Amino acid sequence: MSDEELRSYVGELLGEQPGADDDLLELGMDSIRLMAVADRLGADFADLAERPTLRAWGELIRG
Amino acid sequence: MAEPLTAAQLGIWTGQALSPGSPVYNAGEYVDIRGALDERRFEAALREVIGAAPALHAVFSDAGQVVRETDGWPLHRLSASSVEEAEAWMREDLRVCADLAAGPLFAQALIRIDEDRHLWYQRIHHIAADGYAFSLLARRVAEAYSGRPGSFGSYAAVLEEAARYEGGDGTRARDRAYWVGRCAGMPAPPLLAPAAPVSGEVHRRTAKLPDRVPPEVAVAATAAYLHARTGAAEVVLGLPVMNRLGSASLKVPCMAMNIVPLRVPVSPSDTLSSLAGHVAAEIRHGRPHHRYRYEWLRRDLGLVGGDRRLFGPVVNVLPFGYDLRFGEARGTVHNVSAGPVEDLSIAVSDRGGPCADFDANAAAYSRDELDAHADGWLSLLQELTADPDQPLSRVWKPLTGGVVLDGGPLSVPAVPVAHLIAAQAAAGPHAVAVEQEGRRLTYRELLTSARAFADRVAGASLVAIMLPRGFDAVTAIVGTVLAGAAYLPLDPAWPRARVDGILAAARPDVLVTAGGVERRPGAPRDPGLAYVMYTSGSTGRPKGVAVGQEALAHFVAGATGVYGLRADDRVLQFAPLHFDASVEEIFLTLCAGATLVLRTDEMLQSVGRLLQACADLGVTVLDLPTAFWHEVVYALSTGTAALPPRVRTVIIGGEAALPERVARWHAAVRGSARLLNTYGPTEATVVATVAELVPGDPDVPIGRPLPGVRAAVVDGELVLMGGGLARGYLDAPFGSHAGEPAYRTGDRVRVRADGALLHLGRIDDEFKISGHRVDPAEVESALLLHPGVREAAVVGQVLDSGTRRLVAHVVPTGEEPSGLREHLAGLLPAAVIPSAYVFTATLPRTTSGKIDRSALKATAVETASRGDDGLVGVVLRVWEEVLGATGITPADDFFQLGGQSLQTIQVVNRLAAELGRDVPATLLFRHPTAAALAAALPPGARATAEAPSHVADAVLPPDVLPRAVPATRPPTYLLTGATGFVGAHLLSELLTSTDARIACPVRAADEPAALQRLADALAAQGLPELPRGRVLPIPADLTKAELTGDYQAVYHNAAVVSVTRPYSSMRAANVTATLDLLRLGAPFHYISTLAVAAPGPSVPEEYVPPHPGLRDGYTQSKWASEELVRQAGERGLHTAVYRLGRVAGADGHVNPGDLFWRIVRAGVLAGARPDLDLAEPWTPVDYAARAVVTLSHAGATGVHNLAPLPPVHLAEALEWVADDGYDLPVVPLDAWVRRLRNGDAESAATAAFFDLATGPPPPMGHVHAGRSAGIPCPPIDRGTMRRYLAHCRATGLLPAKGTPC
Repeated sequence: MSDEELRSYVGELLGEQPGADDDLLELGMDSIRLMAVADRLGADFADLAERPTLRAWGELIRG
Repeated sequence: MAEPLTAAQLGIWTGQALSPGSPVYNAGEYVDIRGALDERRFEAALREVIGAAPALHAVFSDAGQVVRETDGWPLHRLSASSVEEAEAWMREDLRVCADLAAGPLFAQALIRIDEDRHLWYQRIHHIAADGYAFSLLARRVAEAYSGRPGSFGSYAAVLEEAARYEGGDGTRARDRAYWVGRCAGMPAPPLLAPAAPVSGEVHRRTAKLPDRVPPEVAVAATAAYLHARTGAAEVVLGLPVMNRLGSASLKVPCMAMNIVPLRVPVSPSDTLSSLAGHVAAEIRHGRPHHRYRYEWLRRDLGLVGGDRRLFGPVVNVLPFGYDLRFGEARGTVHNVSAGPVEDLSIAVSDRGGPCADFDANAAAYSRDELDAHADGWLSLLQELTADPDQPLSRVWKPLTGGVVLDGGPLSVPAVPVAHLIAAQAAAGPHAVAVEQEGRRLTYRELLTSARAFADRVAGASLVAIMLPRGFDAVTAIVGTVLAGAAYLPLDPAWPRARVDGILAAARPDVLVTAGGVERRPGAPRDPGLAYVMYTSGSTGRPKGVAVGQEALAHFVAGATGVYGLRADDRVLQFAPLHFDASVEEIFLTLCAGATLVLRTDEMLQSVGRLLQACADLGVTVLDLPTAFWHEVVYALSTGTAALPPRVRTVIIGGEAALPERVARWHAAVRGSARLLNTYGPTEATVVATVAELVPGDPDVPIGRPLPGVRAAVVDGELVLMGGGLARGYLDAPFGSHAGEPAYRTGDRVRVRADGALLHLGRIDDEFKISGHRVDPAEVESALLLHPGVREAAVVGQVLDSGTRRLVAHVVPTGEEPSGLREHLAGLLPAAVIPSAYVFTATLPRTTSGKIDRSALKATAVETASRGDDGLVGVVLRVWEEVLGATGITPADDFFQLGGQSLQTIQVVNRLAAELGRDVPATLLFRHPTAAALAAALPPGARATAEAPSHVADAVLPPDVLPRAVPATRPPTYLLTGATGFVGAHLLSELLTSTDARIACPVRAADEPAALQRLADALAAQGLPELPRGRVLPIPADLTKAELTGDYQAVYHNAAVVSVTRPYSSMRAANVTATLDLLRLGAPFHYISTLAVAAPGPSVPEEYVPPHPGLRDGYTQSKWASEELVRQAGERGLHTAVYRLGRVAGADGHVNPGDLFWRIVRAGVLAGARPDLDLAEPWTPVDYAARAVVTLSHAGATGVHNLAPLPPVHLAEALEWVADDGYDLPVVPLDAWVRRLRNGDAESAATAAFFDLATGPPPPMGHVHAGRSAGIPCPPIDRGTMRRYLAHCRATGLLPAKGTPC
């Protein structure tokens, strides 16, 4: 998933477009949505939750 | 080293301890693994992961938890031929109860279905794992199996984090404030089934969902479903939260989840989108506070114990659709048991497709009910998601066809009453059927004369009976029913016009009067009716309700069992025969073979007379109109009457019972008789629902449907169905509901959590007064017949006193017409004649041109306030209250003002209470004007009441008057209770800051002994020594001696303080003494307590009327004294009241008798402090003394709340004690109390106090204390506590720190 795809996917989940360094938990990324993201990205829920920004997530999936 | 349990664990540990051996806290899941699986490799991976999860290896005791290795736990390896067989094995395993003290907390199994399919099953006790923990474990096992790296977070860090939070790092208080605020004014959560205890058995239904459902949508749909089923305007759902984000538990398999309440207001105009939006915002708003345990919140809100609920159904949206890969094999997760289910849980998850698990507590729901709800929920969800912007009202109409409440089948067949009465006569011919004034009619005699009557009316279909209550009337009624005809009761006292109107409309074939039986040309009608009763309808004209024989039989079959009526019962026949309550009395009694005792008019002389007559007659069942019962309760609670000893059941109905009266009833009767609150319109045959009213219920429910009756709530309105329904009106059938005959009651109701119905009021304008259903239109039509009336609008009003009255707003054609009352009296029954008339030029109208009735209702028609102008004034005030009328003059005739039997009783009852003497009703009949009645009232002392009541005692006798006390220099003050904790400070303060001489009554043999007691009291608190000559000891007991003398001021501080003693035992010391001291006629300063305040958001600085919060004898006695002081103030005496909170010691001193210090002492000895989450105002004693003396010298009058400091949180105060060096771990209150019972006598006494307490006192509202604002008060803080404790050690109240106990 590209950064742009990630941004638009997360934006769809939250109903608003986050910036790269916005805290996604603050923007309404609850545990349930986070699980969906983890599933979709094949990433670990806890890893995503530890650093909940688009930038960090991009780095995570690029590995 | 044992670690404390986290609050989440503690909740489960406590729950398990309360139901030992119960497997209800087991959670179970399996992973369905498809593909080749290396079983050895799997076991190795599993053992590695389980070994790395410390929470699974903890063992628990009341000392805490210890993590140790679980040695040699087995991995069950078995084969099953199918998934179903494997699931059966799992369900069996889930019945095993883990031993929390010894472990293991879990079980593991690998079940082989075939070589390409394995089920990996885990059972873990909820104390060790929540749903998220399961997912962490599964994921880690899959990783380990596949050789991928991974690890868990630190369990120790989780415990530390919890300890920090629970230790009060500030966040907890903030979270508490959030939730308490969010739950302010929260209704009892609506449920789909009566609340039941959590059982070990859960019904589960699983269904596939067409699409994924976001959490807020699942919650919104559930809220809409509850609304549709219960009609509730607000639902409260439970939302499980994982509590992992931003927490040390993020990667730790353990128990961390919580459940938070989610309030969702729902209205018919809402849409799925609007609800989901609200829910999403609410969830987001609450998220920062999710850690606050729901167990704590329940306690904060007083929702602990019984069937009280914080939330209704739980909606859990599980995201665990994780894709597990074990090498090449893939796993999907299936939940088998999610742990305990309090009510209903809907879990939405994804297992190879979206699905929902509906789990229901089997004690509350049958499997069929669960299936019906699951289907209903699914279809509602589908309809709502099809168009998320359509209003709910469009979708749910078909859904509300579901019956909310069903009285169940009849337990005995519905047999026609004629057969039952004949059978009773055959079985017991000599038993007494009817009795009046010593005359008796046996069943055989009744049947014989009734059959003779039946012959006389043979062939008739409707028989009008206009006879007074008596043997003839009962015989005619039974005879009519035996003849297969219906009876139509008419009141001989009705105006001729009304009787003629009804006869013309109903067209009976026969009219029976005292003059004989008269045949008339009747109308043809349906066969098989039992009776026709007229009620006021909505069209302005009375309506005849036609009740079939089958409905009557149905009612008798259903009610006899519920009321528990027996052949040896003696039932009072109280109701007028044209009220359908008489049907209940007559037919239930005669069909049961019991005795019907007809009342006489003489019995209505007074409540006391009626109850005495019932006692003499051995009545066992009393069936009373609620309005009359209110008077009975009043008399019982003031001790002017007593419940007849043989009465075992009291049935009330006809209007809403006042909660205050219900509480008084319970207090007065103490369980000696059952109280049944019945509800039912005439259209549903007397009674449709019944509730047994029990102490402690804050509501007054109308209960559940009788057997055979079903009830639906449609848009908040109660709709009745079933075999008890009347046939219809004589001229019109009822409507139908969901395809069956149904009666829309017009009553607004709500279904409470336990399934009981609560009556909320009328939907239309209909108004009930004295049990009569009043239709304003009927009264208005009658008013308009008067030539002087151009327009009229009649509205019902409920005055603050609870009096219900009708007010006529009249636009006259010219001059204000006179004689409206007389005009109406010729047309209408007395009860529906308005008691107040307002003349106006125009009536207010709404924009659509209709009369604006709500504006009229709001129009204040003041009852003239009257000063105390003697007995006539008292009489007039009572009349105005009872009649709801204005401007009554001493010459007005009570009966011409609309007074009837009930109002007569109300008047004599209230006058008796006000005057403290018996007032017979005959007096009012003989002297119907206020002037004449006042003159005729018997002089005399207060009647000796058998049970003294604080309300009855709170009437100031006329001899208490202000007196001109001669001034002396220096002045002499009287101070009572000077040897007490507060009194000593008051004495010291008066000595220091005034030059007065202080007279102190002290219980002692002589003056030197009295003086010595005073000196000792001051010394004990470190106060300065008594100066010579200024203190005048009076050896006297206030409860025995009446003091006399001239004092320039009285400081009345003496009181017996006890929370356990009844009012009667404290009355002499705390109330009579106040009265005696008031008789001194001197300026009066009364030391009172904030405990007299009524529960509510604030405690104002003013006197309070009596309220149900005055629960114990002490507060009742203090309230009664305040009330006496208030009345003395009204008479011109200079009076002031000073209310204190919990009296704290002056700096460095404590009151060892105070409850707080008893708790501290018992706690230190027991090595634990109780978890007491209670905040209360504390008043330091030196401040109190200073404030009283300062304010009294400044000429204070009225009430002063002396609460200068913020409320003290007991938990915090106890924490200060612990911080001072006592090892006092917090334990739950009940556990703490248990420990105390094994302590010394003092500790056991403290334990007994908690055992006796009916629960924590309601939190006290914000205390207004503006009048003492200027008087400085040092804070009570950690430092104060340290000095208090040092004092305790110095005086031996507490052992030295670290001393083993």
